[in-house]
Amino acid sequence: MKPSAQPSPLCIVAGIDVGSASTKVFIMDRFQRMLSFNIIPTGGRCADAARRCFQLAIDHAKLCRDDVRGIVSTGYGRKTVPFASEQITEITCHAKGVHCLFPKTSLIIDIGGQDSKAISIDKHGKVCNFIMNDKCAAGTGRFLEVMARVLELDFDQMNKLHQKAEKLVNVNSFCAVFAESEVISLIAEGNAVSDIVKGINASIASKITGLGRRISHRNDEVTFTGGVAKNKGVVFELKKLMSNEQINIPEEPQITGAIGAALLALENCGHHAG
Amino acid sequence: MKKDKYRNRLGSVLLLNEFIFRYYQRLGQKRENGSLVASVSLGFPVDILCAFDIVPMYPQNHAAMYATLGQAGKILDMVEEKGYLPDICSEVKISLGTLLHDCQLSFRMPKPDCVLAATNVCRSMVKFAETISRELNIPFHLHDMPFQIEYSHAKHAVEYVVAQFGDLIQFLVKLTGKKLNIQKLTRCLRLSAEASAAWHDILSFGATVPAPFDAMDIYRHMFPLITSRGSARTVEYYKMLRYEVIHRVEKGIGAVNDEQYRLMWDYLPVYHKMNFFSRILSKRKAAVVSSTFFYPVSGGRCRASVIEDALFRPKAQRLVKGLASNHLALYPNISLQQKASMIKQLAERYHVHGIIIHCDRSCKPQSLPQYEIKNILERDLKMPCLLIDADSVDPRFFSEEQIVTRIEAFLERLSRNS
Repeated sequence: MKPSAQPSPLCIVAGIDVGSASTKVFIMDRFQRMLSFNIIPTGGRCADAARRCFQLAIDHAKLCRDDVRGIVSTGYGRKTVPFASEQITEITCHAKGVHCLFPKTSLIIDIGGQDSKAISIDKHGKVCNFIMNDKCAAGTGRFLEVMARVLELDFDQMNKLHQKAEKLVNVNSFCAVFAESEVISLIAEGNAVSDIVKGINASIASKITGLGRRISHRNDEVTFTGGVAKNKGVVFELKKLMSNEQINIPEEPQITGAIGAALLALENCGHHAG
Repeated sequence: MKKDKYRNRLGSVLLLNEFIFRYYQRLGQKRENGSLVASVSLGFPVDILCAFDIVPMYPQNHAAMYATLGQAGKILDMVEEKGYLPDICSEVKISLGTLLHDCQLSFRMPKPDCVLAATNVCRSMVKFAETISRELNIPFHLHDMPFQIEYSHAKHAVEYVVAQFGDLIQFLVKLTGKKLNIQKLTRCLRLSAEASAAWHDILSFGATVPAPFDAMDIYRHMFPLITSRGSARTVEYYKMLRYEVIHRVEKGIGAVNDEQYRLMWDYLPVYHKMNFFSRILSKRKAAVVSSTFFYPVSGGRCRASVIEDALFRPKAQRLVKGLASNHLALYPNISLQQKASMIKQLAERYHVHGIIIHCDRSCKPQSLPQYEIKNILERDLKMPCLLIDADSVDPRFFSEEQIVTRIEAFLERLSRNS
């Protein structure tokens, strides 16, 4: 971090989180007040997505580009944002962002498009330990996308169906791609789609819990972030498995990384979170 | 060498390239001249072979060479086409491919006349040795070195290993028709000890701030010690390397410009990505100053002096007991607790700020305890540890973006905690 010598009175900063599935921008002022945020699909070109999302957020806040004094980029595509003054990993940014929203959080579980991570933080929001998904994308947003496509549903429909499930049908495959074949078999065997959806959500929740438990303590306050945190079925199953922990879900769980990046940009401008 | 703005590589790498070239040249020539060649697994008490004029070669090291040259992926594809499963250790697969199926590119290994293995590294190499022996119809000797739960050089374990030296000598006598030449053995052991002592000197300078070498460089410089023990050339090589390192220490030249973070690396490097790791770490002012892998080949548990000690008191029994103790104490042959204890000692000695643990997909006996070792180190040293998944030899098992993110997040953690 490179704090400036003189904090600017009109300091407006932005955090840009370029993920594999979506790009998020968060703009705040020196008092950490949100001015705007935006989320768009990343697509195949991270640099374009970052530019577009940033422009949309600026337009929404009725600002111009020069009003933004500091920009920190994060996420998988952080290095493709040439107009950012610093690139910081999503681990550090999520820790920062979540600590701001839920200061008592000790464990963050972030499930994105292809990444899942568990981050333990101390009471100051500093990263104590982190662990990321190994070897494959099972249990991430990509897995849900594959399942939704096989079942010919959108995520809202999946959420509604989860509530109607009468029993849990296990989806066992370790591999996100092989699970597609398994679900097709389950449908062919006559299992109710709602029960299969419940099984899919339970499978993801189980992987998430396993990841978190590797670095957690049983009495953690947990904050669940990332696109998958919007899935009510997964959240329901997660709360069953982590019944000893308090689980927070931000109002917009996809932007915590961008919030953290913006806070770090603020620190770079000489304004520290108080 | 091209100048790099973040790091200062050892100039001796040019000597190393020459050494490697000559080694393979001599191996081929000796084979042509009728010398007996033995395929030897790392960890085998190889010094004894020089008493019978047997030339050792190391398929595992050969596999690592291919990985460093960027050729391992192609060879693994060739080997797997023969029917070997992806799950098998990459070093073993390349070794099988090299000796059984002539899957070789640059730097070729000849067919061996016998195969020698010890149980102090892994069972996969024992299976490799059995397979080679059966398929090539060549004699096989296995030296059984029991796994050490407690670090004590357990008396019965040492006696058991010593007793097998008799079997080994009989095997070699039968193979060569020669008697053991004690003068050659003594000379070989003396030169091995001298090279080991120079190697240990070099390693000890890693504790200097700034560290004069980057461990990713030093891994390469293990080649002579592994492949050419008991040779005056090897002693000379390490004396030259030591001279360069001492010069750097005297001038305050660090391997990494403006060194800020000192790291340790547990166990095998990612041979095909050593430059990659060196670059991304040095760019962020981090230097890897030590590794647990540096110690096994020089005598295990930082005790190369055991051999020297035995040599200065020249009684055969003591010498052989020293050898047995050293080989029992190799890093892969000791318990989880002893490994963690060794890492803790090294971390303190080398003033490290964090530890990178390479969870090698190929080396399951080594990687299995690493999760618990990480927990122990974080608890006892209060030091950040990062576990990365890769394969020491197989380039197909490497997810660059994932690893870069982990390393960057790890270094950010060091930066914010300091």
